[in-house]
Amino acid sequence: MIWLIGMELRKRWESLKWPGLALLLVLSGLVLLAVLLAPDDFAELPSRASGTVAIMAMVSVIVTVMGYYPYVDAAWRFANDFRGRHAPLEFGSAVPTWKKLVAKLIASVTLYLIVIYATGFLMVLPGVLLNDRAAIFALRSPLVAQAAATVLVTYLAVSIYLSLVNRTRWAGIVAVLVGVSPVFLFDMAWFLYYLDLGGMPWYFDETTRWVITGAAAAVGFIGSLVLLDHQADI
Amino acid sequence: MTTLSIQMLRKRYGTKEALRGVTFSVEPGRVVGILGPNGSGKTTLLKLIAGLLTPTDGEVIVDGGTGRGRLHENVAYLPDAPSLYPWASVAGSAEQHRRLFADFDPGAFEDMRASLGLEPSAKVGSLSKGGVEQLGLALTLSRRALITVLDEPLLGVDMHARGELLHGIVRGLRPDAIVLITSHLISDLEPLLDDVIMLRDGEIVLSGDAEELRAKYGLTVENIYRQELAS
Repeated sequence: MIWLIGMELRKRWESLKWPGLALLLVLSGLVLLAVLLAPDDFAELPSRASGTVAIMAMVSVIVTVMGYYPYVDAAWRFANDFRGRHAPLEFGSAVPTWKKLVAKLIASVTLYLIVIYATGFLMVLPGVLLNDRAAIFALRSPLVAQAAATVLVTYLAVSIYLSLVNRTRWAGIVAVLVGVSPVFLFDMAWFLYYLDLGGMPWYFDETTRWVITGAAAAVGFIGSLVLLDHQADI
Repeated sequence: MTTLSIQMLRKRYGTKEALRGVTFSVEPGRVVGILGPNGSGKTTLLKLIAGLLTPTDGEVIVDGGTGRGRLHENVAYLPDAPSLYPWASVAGSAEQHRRLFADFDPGAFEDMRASLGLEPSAKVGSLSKGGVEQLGLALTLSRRALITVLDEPLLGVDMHARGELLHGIVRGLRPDAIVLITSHLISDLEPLLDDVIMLRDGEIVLSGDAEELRAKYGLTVENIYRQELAS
């Protein structure tokens, strides 16, 4: 299992290292430029005159793109491993499917955390250099984020369907369930916040909401594994 | 007991039927040539035997049992396009195989690697097309599998290395093992073949013992193929 996780991380590193480095360099340059152009003490929001607005817009787009990279990588990796040229190596092995999928999941989550911390570090760097108002750099571009989420969910669902269509009759169901589940789970967290039972609003606290959502995600994930490993015999 | 039994195997991709009820069996120790023009269903048949596709109908029975897990444990499959990771080294690829396949024999791989002149530290991405093919074949043949399935293993391999690889196909086989092999280079393959199965449009048009077919037609397998599949 440890070796499988290491292998998955190695695959991600090999696909990430050059585009990731390029994005980090561009982002670092922009952040540095923003620091140089910013008002002396960052006491006020950046102004058009200071030139930081345009830079921050670019920064927010890049941060959003970097934030979505782990999801893009996870979807692309799934398609490449299970549908693409590496499928014989991935599928041909007698290693149980659940181990392969758990290794991919752990590697994807690890990559996500690394990216979040890397971008987060860059975002707070101006704050360290100047003051804590630099947190405004953590802005994300809502338009880019929404478009990326839509494209990703569609891409993930299509990848899963095409990976499984010649292997199991459950391809369509699994594709919809796994592809749409991130959106569904996110909505579920909000739904729980506004849950109204018998006319009495029941506001779950944030921890409870995410525990319930996490449990639903776990049940969905384990259910998918059972479906794939036993019934669909992927 | 037959090592491999294929029962009325069908595979449909949407509206296209790639295999139309193929049935045959293979006895232990046989090398079987699966021959046919492009689109005849050869690769689909091999992928079904390797457990990479699910049949629309019919069964693949290995050593008396069925199920994809059984196929993965007993079938070593070389695809027609390399499946190795370009960033891995030759030695690293062998290590991946050792971890992923319980029947992988590192000693056998080392012998084959040395005879093919593949540097252990060379990256897969830096090898020539023929080099990658050779590495893939060496890795597949280093599995001590009951069934070895080779899809166009000689594609991109020069004449010098071809002899070594053909020798390697039968050199380390278990006595009860079988080999299924496709190739358009039938003349190179012919000395190896014990049995022949010819496919056209997803159906078997001719099959049998290679020696008996040669005696019956008075032709080489290559010429029988030309005669039967051209008609």
